Amino acid sequence: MGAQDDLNVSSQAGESADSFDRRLADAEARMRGKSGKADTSTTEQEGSADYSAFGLAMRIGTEMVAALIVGVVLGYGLDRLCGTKPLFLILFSLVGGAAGMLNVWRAVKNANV
Amino acid sequence: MAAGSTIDALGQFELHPVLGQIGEALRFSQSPLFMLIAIVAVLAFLYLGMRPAAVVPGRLQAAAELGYDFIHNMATETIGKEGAAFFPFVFAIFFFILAGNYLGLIPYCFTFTSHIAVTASLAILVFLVSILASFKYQGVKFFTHFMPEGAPVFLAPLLIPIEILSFLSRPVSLSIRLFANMMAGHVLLEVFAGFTLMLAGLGAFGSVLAVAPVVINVALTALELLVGVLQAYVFAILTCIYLREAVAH
Repeated sequence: MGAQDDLNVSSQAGESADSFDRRLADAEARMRGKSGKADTSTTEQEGSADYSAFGLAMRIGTEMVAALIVGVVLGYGLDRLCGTKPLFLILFSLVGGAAGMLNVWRAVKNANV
Repeated sequence: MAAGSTIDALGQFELHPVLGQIGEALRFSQSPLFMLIAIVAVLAFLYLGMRPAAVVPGRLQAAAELGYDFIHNMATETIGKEGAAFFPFVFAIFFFILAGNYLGLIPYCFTFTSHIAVTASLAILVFLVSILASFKYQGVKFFTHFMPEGAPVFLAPLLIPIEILSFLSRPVSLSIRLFANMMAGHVLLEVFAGFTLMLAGLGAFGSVLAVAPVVINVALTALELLVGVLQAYVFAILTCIYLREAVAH
């Protein structure tokens, strides 16, 4: 804390009481300003905890859908490639759905909200 | 625009050449223009914010320091001790997306994060960086992560495809989330603005009712401010999580 150091130095310097009082009042005002700032930063941290919970809620849906999309696209592409029309599409949409569930489980497991 | 009974909610996402003939020749649309503006805005914010370099910061310097600290903590706490190496990458991604989301809220400005081409490019960049980091830190051992430890071997044909799909879905979910949120928000804004015009066309009584969509739009703008920073945060934190898995072990 810079202000506290200033305070110590000025008190050790043994200046006149009048000047010291003025400096003390100044330093206190500065500390108040600083602690005020510190307060806002802690509330901001709480806010960011809320943000991350909200962010998690927004993550879940897309996590689940994205894996399903990848599965369906992969399955459809493999079917186009191999000419086995519904086989890979069915297989990979099931696997994609499972992977989506896995994504959601991992997102929630690490969150600990 | 929506002068009559129709609302053209998607017209705002069309790309047009800007800057006259030069833009025409270079196929230079609003999207790259606003990317450049976003980059300049972020650089100016950091440069002007940190120029005083005061011990007790002013407002702008405090904002720049908070931004730096926030991402630095996120990178080092999430990724671990290697996080400092990836901090510039995460920082650039976060502030680029944040600037893009917030620029789009200014009237007459274009939201480049509402195009999936842009968000997918960013997500693929993150994906490739995480793969390269995996190979650098783990080598071939990286591939063992596709078989969960302790799982019975006879389940491997089922588990490995699931793990691979789960891995491949990362860039998809990253890009869709950002693009869908930004696009949905701007479509909503446009639709409610269109309601105002339609109600105002109904005469005196409609003009009074037309205030309601404006009020909703004010609230939506506030929501968009939250969503903008939240989406940038989610993108950055997921980048950190993917990089942590890349550098672990």
